[in-house]
Amino acid sequence: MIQLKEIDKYIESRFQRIFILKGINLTIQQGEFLTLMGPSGAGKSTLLNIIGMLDEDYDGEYFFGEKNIRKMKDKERSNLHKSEFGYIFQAYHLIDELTVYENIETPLLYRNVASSERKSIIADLLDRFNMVAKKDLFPAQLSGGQQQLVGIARAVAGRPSLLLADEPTGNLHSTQAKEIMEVFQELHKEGTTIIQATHARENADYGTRLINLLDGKIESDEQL
Amino acid sequence: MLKNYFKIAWRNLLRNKLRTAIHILGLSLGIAICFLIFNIVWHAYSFDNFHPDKERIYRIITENDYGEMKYSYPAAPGPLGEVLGEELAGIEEVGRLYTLGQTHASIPEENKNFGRKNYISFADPGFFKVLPRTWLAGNPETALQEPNQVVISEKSLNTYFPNQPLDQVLGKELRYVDADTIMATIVGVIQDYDENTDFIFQDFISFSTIKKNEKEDWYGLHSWTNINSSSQVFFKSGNGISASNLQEGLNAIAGKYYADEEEGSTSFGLEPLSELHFSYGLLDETGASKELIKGLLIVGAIILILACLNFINLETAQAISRAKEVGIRKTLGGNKFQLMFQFLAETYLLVLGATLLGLVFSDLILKTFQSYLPDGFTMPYLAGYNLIFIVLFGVLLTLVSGIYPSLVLANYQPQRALKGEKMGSAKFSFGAFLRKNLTVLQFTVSMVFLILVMVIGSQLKYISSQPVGFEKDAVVYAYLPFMAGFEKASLLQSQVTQMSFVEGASLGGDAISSNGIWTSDVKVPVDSAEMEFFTQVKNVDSSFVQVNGVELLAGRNLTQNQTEVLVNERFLKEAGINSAQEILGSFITIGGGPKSVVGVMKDFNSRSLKEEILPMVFLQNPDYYNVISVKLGKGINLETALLGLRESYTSVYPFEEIDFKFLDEEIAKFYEEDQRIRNILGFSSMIAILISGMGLFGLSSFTISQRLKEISVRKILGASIAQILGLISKEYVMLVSISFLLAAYPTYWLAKEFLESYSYRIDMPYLQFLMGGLALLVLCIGIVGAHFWVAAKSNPAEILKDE
Repeated sequence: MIQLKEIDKYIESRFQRIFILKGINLTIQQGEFLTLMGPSGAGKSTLLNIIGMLDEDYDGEYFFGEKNIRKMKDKERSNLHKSEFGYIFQAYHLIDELTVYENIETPLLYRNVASSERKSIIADLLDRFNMVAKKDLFPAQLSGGQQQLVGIARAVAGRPSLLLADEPTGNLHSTQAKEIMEVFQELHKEGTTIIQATHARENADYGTRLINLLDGKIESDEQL
Repeated sequence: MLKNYFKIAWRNLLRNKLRTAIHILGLSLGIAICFLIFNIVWHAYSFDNFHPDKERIYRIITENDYGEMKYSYPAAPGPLGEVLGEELAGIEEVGRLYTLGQTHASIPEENKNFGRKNYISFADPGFFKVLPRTWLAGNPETALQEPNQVVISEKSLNTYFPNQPLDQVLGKELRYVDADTIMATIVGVIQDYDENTDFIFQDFISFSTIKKNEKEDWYGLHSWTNINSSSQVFFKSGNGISASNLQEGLNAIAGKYYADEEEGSTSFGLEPLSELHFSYGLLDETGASKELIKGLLIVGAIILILACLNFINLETAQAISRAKEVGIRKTLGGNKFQLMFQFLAETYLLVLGATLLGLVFSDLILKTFQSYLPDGFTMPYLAGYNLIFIVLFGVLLTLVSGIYPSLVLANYQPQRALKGEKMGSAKFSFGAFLRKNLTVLQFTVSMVFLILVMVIGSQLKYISSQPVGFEKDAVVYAYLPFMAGFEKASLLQSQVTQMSFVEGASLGGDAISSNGIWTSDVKVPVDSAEMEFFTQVKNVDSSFVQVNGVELLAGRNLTQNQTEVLVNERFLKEAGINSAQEILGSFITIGGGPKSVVGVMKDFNSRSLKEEILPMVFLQNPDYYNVISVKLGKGINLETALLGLRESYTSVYPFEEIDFKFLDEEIAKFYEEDQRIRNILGFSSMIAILISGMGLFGLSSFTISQRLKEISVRKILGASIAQILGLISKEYVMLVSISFLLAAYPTYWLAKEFLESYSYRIDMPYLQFLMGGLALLVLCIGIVGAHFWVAAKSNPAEILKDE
């Protein structure tokens, strides 16, 4: 599904290049649940951003399926981005001005989904994450775990084939974290490819593959 | 989608009330002023655009060219009106109009008097062919063909013959008296124009009435060289005839009739009907000046630009706090245009709110400045053109002020924005650079306005405190009926003089101080030679000196002897005579004969202080006494005094309605225009300062929230509040100083232009420049300081906890 070849990411400083990622070669198959681990500064988030096409400032080749991302037109890339990717953040990043319902609705609006279809998709998601009663609340009125659930609901609303999660449980306590990971596992069973970056080893156990990064390089790559 | 945009916009506005209030208030001021100015301009261009074939209608203007001096009058010599129809090719109709001011109208049959009225004129049948009217009665084909006929409009009809059927009015006789008495039979009644028009005349006496030989001379219609501003010629050109063709024809006519001109050259020009409103010549009650409109447009544009700058400034500053939202939206699949659209929707919502408030403001401003605007000016809020203006202007304003901030926002890169990274903080920041410059620009404009207002204010104060050389406080004056004769005038004078509250009364050609001027050539014998120069002439009587309290420096006052004259000091200077005694008893030649100089008057300002005092001669010509000036006693009841004067006036001139005017009020009117400019500028500067102040308020409140952490860290490291305030305000002192430097020269130049329009003026008040700059600096530091005071007093532990 995804193939990265010789990915380099560096910062040009006055006397030398500081590499954040160096020579990353990685192939990810459809249906994998991959965990990126490593200490702070190892390049987890950076790699995730590159895979998620949020960062386009790197050297190397990136194939999504058959297509070379770097050679795509803006429009194509934007469409691919919309249809295939879902994002989940450590700090949830819900829009404070919107209710739970509207937050989940936003990606659908950007995808020009018809109104009736939007309603049914959101209703399903609210039901699934047990948040029907909370749909009119604003993010500030929810607990961290609940906010992250909204974040996940929002990420999967557009039915992405690939879910990217950057420290999804970083701001949560362990019970909440467990809940979130169980949701991930479920999504994975339904066929969604998931890539998560985390500090917590126990989260990796929910996945199928574990990659350790150190100083911008892949240290180890194991199937679980 | 759209609904979603507006929903978010609405919530965002509610969430950030301070920002919303500042934006709405600032923009609404700009909108209010633009709306008002739009209406003024619209009104000015709405005149006389309803006539059929209006693009083919012209008025003749006459141009005198003396090489260096060129004059142009919207008037035509009498004979041109006679020959134009035959000699100018390509015209369909010619119409002549002769305007009359203040003409007395009455119905002799019913012994009804209507007093002096404007709106009376002479017109020929062609006039109604050039500018057709709706006829309610009478035959348009035959009307005004014969002398002593008159066509009246419905308004006049209602005044003269209320509630009388139309057919009974035809054939009735009216009497008009301007200088001469004219009897005229009503031959037609026409409808008044409903639309805005400069043709405000209601009574049209047949032109042939004054075409008779004995009258032509009096009305100034007899010769090609006499150009009387009352005499106007209109015409309608044929289809497809270009203005340049007509101009060529007019040049030929001028060449033919002015072939033997000795000095200068006279030619004719065309004034299209659309220019009429910005010209003069039609009683000038409704005219507008293009200069004024231009000035208003400039002021409006400046205020609007300030308001937009404010918006752009604050929005780009606050963009950082919305970066996170942009980041999220982009990762959710929103593209740049969708985001821009969202922010523009928000701006539009603000503009909408500001428009509503702006309309309220414009109504308030209209009420304040009503007296500065033309009569009959209204703002029909719901008129089609206003609704279109409001909608289009709203969209335009949204785009102008919203595009840049939304572009800034929509361009944020998601992964950076989500990390909360400050944009380009290390590098040169265009945004910060722009913000500072916009603030500087706002303060520069405010400063120019403020200092100008102060300069004009002190000049006007100086003028009113300046001694004019005569007593203006206790003198009232009134115009006498034109050419009503010396006997009646002198009867009135003696009646008035006997009143207990009157100290003296004087007859003259004019009040001591007036806009009118009479100049003449004078010959003065100096050392056996003769000097010739121009002098101002005033027609006075022997009471002039006493009534006006002017000082006589040498010689004696005038007696009844009409060959005696007085001169002023400046006259001596002009003639090169050093001692007043020298001229006493000598004869000067002025007004057709030698006059003996019996006294020398101290200089006084007979005109506005914008002008130098001219050499003056005071002579007596009782036939042309037009004004009676009365000096009132001290400590009298003004109401009773004026009542007494009025009674006396009506007893002498029973048909006249006239009022006594206070001399000092009339003199104050010389400076009315400047007073208005000062008030308008004062208002503009208030708005400009308000807008800039609000902008700074918003900007500094934002800057503080950005620098809270820095302030807290500095406090922990031991900085005192004073040190922090000093550190922060340093930047703003710099901004204001740059504004001051930028404002200094334009202000100096404008102030210089203004002051130079006065002969009597203050020195350039540099101190006021400093004061203006200082005032804004204090305001600026006050606004910023208040914010930072709160921030600096806050507990650093609380602030740093979040980080």
